[in-house]
Amino acid sequence: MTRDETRDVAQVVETVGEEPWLEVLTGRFGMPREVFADYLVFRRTASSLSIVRRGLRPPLAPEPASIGIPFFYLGMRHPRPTSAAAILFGPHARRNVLDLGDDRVPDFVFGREISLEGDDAGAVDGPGYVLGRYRGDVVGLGHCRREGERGLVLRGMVPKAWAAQIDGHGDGRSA
Amino acid sequence: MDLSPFERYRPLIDDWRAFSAALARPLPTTVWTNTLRTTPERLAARLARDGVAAEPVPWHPGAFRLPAGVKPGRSIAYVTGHYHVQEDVSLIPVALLAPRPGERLLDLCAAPGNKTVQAAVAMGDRGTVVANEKNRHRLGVLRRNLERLGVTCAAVTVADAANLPRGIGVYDRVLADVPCSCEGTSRKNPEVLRRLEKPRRGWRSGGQLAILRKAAQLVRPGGRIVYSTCTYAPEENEAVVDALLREAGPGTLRLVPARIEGLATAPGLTGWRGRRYDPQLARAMRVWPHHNDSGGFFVAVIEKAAA
Repeated sequence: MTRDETRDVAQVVETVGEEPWLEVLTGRFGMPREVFADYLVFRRTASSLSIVRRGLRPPLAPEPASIGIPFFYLGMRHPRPTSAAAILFGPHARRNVLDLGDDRVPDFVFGREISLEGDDAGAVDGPGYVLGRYRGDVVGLGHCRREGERGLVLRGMVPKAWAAQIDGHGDGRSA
Repeated sequence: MDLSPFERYRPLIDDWRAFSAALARPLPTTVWTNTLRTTPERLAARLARDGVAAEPVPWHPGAFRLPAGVKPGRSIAYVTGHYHVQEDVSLIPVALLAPRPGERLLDLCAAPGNKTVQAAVAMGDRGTVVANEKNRHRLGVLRRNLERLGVTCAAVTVADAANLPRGIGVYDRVLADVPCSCEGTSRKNPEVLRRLEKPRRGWRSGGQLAILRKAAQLVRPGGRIVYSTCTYAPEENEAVVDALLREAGPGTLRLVPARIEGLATAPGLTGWRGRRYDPQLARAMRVWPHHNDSGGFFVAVIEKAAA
């Protein structure tokens, strides 16, 4: 009989409560709470959280250098999901998702300002985080703020290192 | 192109002219669908809409070959993890490892993580994937691939695969995709030919056997190991597996046929330069570049006898 040298991931990581990440994801984006039932959220650093699928049984030794993937940044006035988390859970969002056409997706990806008018402004519940969607798929997180007469202005927060990989036009036509 | 480093394999190759011609061509680019995020049909439609004539890889569902000149690593769909770019022969080990959702899988030499993410996606991101990598400097690319494809069922460890402690646990499937002389990668890394010109090529058989031996320790009874390299050298392929079988003794480990429908392959060797190998080695798989317009590869599928 082989001895079980593993342990439940919950014994390995420092799990955290539901605030504030759940409020952002269920409140701002309207994601159903059940979406997260299969996952364990835990502290990665003092200012960030990671997420791992329940059921993972990491080894006793060597100590894992990392488990799961980065999930949330806490060290800011308005905590927010990582881009990886935004893309992973974005399909479950029911509000504050903005559709970007070919013309606007490069601006979103490269962090240039996008003025929201008409229906776009109506798709957003005022200032706060917004998910950018292109061709039906979430491509990242952005932040929307109100700026005087311009009204709502959105700026994509796609990591620079990710954006740098994308061809200049940013609409994905290279593949 | 100077193919003299490969002259020693001429007796093994059915069509030397075709082999030489294949090595002179650029390697086709292959992508595979991240089914955690999309479907092969949606990816194919997306590629078609962008004017990319993607051709399905007949032996691997969800994988597509792209025309020359396409840069698949520079699109939004790539950056957001809808597909992964991976040489098609490199898809073989995980295809033969055949992991299932909920299982425990250990990737002994994981970076850059191509096969790790391929396995995790095949498992539906459910179960346990332990991605071990000896070189701490290569963890960044491994983690980026896990993040980009949305793999949340993985833990990363840093250790010499050959010396992993028992605390690493026992696994249903173990992948030993070991460091090798990389002869089969000359189409994408022509500099490998210059390295091979040196009088002492430096086969890495000792280290490979140590890693494979560890794989045999860590796989559960009834579990499966895939041993793979991207080289033609029997010294790093059949000889390593043969040494393990001899050490393990009869009835402990067995090779199962490594075959994939639609992929043209040759059997493993049962002898080389006067040395005889276990006849089971004929169940291993050799992939020569001219058979599928690919790189060169070797794979052996080993199962541990049930307790």
